[in-house]
Amino acid sequence: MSFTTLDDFLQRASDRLDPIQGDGRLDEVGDLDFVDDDEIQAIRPAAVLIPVIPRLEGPTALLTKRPDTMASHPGQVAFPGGKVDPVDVDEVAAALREAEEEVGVVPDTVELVARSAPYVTGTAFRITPVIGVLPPDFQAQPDPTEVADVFEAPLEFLFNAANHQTGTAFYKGKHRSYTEMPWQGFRIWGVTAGIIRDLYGNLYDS
Amino acid sequence: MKTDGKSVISLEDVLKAIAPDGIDGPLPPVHLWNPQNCGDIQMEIRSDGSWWHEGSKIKRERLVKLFSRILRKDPDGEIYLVTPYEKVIVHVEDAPFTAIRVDRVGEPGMDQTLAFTTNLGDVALAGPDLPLRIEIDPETQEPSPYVLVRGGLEAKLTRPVFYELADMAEAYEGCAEQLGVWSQGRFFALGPAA
Repeated sequence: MSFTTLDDFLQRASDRLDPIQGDGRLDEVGDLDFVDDDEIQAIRPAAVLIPVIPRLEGPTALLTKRPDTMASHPGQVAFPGGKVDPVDVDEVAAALREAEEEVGVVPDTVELVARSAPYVTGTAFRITPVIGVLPPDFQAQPDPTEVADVFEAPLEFLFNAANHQTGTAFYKGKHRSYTEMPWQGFRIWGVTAGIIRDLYGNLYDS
Repeated sequence: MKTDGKSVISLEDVLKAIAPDGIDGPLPPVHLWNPQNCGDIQMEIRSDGSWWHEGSKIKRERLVKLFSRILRKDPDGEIYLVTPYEKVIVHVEDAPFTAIRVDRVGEPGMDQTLAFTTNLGDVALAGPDLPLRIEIDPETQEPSPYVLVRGGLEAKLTRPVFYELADMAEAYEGCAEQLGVWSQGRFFALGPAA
């Protein structure tokens, strides 16, 4: 199975993922093997917004490229997001706040749909991906200090296994497999590709 | 309903009660956009108010609401979805909105306001800016009632709403032949008295 229509995508997300509020039932995924016991003690909550834009020519997801000067995950392609701050009531609030700061998302205009499985990174973040639909006319206003570039990739491309390339790499002393999905010169890999791949599995592959 | 000085409900209270989630911030400035690309992605609004894309119904109401906020009627008489980058035609069978509820606010009569709520949560206060009109089918004489919602976009009144309106109808200033309803100081004829 792969992406068909936005309506179907959102229905699957509502049916199969965790609700926006309340306890989640999805298991943590990600790079748990690479986080040692000390790091698990110090794991930090974080959140990203998966901003779905119902463009008239076909729905997309908004992605950013982080500046090379960023302390964590520099230069990588990422969804807007960041650490859960004390000001945030929960991960959803953090995802919206970060998306507002980084690319100018107006939180009140986002239709929140569901939370995807928490993704534990090798750098000891526990990222909660939040799926939200932005207005069809959304225009990003990237903050250059936090975002080097903004682009959109069609959901039809991202949620189709034929576009998920797998490879292996040596990281933290072990071989590991990874997924990447190159899109028009942007390399979607690492944590972001992992989040997309896991979401794809929950929505279309089970 | 009889209202006395103490229990008069304000229009704002009524709006809040009938459309609590009707406010999603200001509408996008669709009138300012002049996109060069124009297409047809087989988007249609059927006469029951449902939205269809490439032949399948869009079931998620919030998604339909998001799209409805960028509807625009152009001088060519067609209705489009517009963004700063492009516009696509919407095949509208009857009217882009459906009025599913009417509330009468204020003292019945000339000073009353009729608030129509659409299938997508918009509220239209009938009056000089948002007129009510009845179209009569020349063959069947069947009346089709519409209220303007915004920018040339109308809502077709459902049958129950039209019946409710007919129940409120009164004669126009002693002219027994002409029945209609008042809203914000304007009289809208519903048709000749039967």
